[in-house]
Amino acid sequence: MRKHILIHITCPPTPDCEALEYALAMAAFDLPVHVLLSGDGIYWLEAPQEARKPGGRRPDKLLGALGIYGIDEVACVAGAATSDSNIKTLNDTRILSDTELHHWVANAKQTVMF
Amino acid sequence: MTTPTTISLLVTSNAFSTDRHELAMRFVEAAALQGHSIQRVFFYQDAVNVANQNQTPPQGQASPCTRWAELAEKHQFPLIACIANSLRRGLADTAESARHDLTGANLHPAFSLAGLGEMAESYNDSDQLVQF
Repeated sequence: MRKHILIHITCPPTPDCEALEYALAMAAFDLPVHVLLSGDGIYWLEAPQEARKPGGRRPDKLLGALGIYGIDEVACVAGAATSDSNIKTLNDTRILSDTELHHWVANAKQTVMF
Repeated sequence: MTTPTTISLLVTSNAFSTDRHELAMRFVEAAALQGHSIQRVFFYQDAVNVANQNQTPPQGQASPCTRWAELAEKHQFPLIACIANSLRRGLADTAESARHDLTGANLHPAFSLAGLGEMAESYNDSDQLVQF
């Protein structure tokens, strides 16, 4: 089994979605990508949300497009932030257990933080 | 004795408001001293601003742009700035400047512009990816 690239996003959505662009680009080259959202990174999950600049991409829509590029492993880490009631789509997002989180980190060939 | 490895660097931090580029340059020197080879240094997000050749540091100081260029020359590795992130921030080489009808190129000649395919390559051609 090929080791994956772990994209760990801890920053809130940005005007240019460069973190997700990185993930999409890696997937476009047929590399296995896992996306992990934690801390303020879980705000990418809020839906619906507006683009962070006029004419920009909506972070939630871009996140929703990951599956089209073959990125099926998208999850967040449980914690205080996940109790925020504004995260309306959180129930649909996989929440990793400590064991799963360890597995994701230990089996990554590359880890990139945003 | 350390087994030599090939290493790619991904630099995402700002060179002027963080110390991450300084740490990355020290890392490169230390890795080279240990016999490891640097495959590439790829600049992404605000890190691409370091490639602007118009940096004018205070007297007696070297710009991080020049220091990266000297380090790359010394250890023979490419300095690559993400083309999309660079254009977004007003950085262009001669070709991109002409393509987008800009006033001129401002990318330091030691750097080149390329897409994220370069980082995809690092999955196969580098033993380690280190981010700063």
